[in-house]
Amino acid sequence: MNMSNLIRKELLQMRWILIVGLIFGLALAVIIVVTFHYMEQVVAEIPPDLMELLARYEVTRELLFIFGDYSDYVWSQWNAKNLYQAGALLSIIMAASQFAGEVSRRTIGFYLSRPVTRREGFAAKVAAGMIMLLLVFGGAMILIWIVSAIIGLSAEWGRLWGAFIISLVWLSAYYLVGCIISILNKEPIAAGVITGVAAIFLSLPGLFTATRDFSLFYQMRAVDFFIYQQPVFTSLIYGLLVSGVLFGIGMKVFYEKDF
Amino acid sequence: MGKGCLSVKSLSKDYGQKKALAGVSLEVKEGEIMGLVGPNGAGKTTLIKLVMGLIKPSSGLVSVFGRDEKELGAEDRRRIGYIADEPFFYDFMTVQQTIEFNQGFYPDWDHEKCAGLMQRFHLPPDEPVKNLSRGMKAQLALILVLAQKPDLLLLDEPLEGLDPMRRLEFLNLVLEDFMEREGRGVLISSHYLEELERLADRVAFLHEGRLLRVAEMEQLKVEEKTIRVVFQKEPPEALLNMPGIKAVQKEGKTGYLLTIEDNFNAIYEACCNYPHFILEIYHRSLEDMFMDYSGRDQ
Repeated sequence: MNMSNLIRKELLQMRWILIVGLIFGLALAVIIVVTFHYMEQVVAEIPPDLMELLARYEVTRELLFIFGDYSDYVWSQWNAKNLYQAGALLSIIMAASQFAGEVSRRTIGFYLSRPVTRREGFAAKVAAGMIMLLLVFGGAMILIWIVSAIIGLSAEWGRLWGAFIISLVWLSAYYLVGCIISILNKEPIAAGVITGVAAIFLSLPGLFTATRDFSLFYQMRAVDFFIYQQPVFTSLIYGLLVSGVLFGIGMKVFYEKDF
Repeated sequence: MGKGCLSVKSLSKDYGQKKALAGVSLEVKEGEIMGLVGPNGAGKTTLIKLVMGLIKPSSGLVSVFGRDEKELGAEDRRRIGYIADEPFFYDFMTVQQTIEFNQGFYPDWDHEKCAGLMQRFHLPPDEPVKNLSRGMKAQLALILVLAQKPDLLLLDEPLEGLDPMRRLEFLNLVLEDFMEREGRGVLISSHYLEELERLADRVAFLHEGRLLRVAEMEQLKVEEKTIRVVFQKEPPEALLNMPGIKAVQKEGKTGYLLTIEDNFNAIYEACCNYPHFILEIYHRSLEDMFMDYSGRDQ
């Protein structure tokens, strides 16, 4: 009862973030599908000799890969681009507002003096954040599915949903990094900026083949699963483990913090 | 009075080099209202926040209803009511939404009392909380805390910023509620000593994080007095050094102002028995005592 009450409060408090996020996510979903529909026709109209010439260049190869297969296109535009960029932004805003925001608005005393333990208080906030991520991006993913079906574009939806779940789990890990930073800060803007800077450091290992497995943002794109055909559980279990550890750290930091 | 509602033992809180609270031990018994008195920075809010678990102690123990504060579950926490020094609510909620959010935590929520107090205070249910005045927010905080029917009430400067009418109404409601049921305990900190004097059964004096004294209000009223005496000749030193005399101030040649904190009857008798011209007794208010304790180290 207590938890659902707290989660409801969090969702009510973040309703504007949810509304804007949903509009943005749903618009993104439609744009992704419709763009393919038109770009596919453009690529198909390129003469074969020009295509051969263009294939020598990296950018063109990528273009041909993206528009050669609808599943690859959706993955490249969704998991590998928009989902993780918009997801990171949403995570930063939510985490900063949920913890540092509660301190700066001086409502943390009211929140923690309800009959809940610190652990419940933390878990409720994180659960609400996860629900927001699921609603915004799950909603967008469903819309991609529906609009694709309406236009008549078929894709390997099992693989795409697998990639989506991996992306969401790793996005949650980044959101939890934001939560930890937010607990340690009194000002939401400072917390947001630090979480943003942390994103740069967390994506750096992804630039090198030897270290990319350690990059949160590399994992978020579900490359190993979607491109290198690794089993879905490898990335998923790895992601759940990292998220679990971050959740534990966050709970401990929140438990020990003076408010 | 019964067993302890709240007990703190050797409680300390350090912020770096600064000691916000230094080895404080006190108990609030069932059926008791304890006043917490001290100047700003004495450690009153720190003590209450430690009891609420909002901050962690550097050392010492807090137990509520006989259980370590760290082990309190939701069921125990439902029995604790708390009003912060400045009540902050969620600005995005209306008065009614704040009440609904709060009542969700308390299965025994007193709907009748809540509705009655809402009417009495004329609080507009659909008004966003951010539009409420300081006094109205204090009233809303009181509604929330009384409707939850707590067994231990922690009030941190709840009268701050209220006009005299609202202060009186606030205290009367706390008192009425306290009398409704047996076994409740109240810990209240306030700068409004006159009101506290009327309300509290016992009073604890805090200064610079240290607990200087805990005394029964009745005992303070009986024992805490000032005797102004002009002796006919210089009194023996033993009289001026009697236990219970807190301060001796000489006035003229053989005149003395004796500030007494204990053992009043014996001191008074000793003064009466020694030849004197004038002997007067002044009652000392909580405010006088507060001034004494606040200036003790200065």
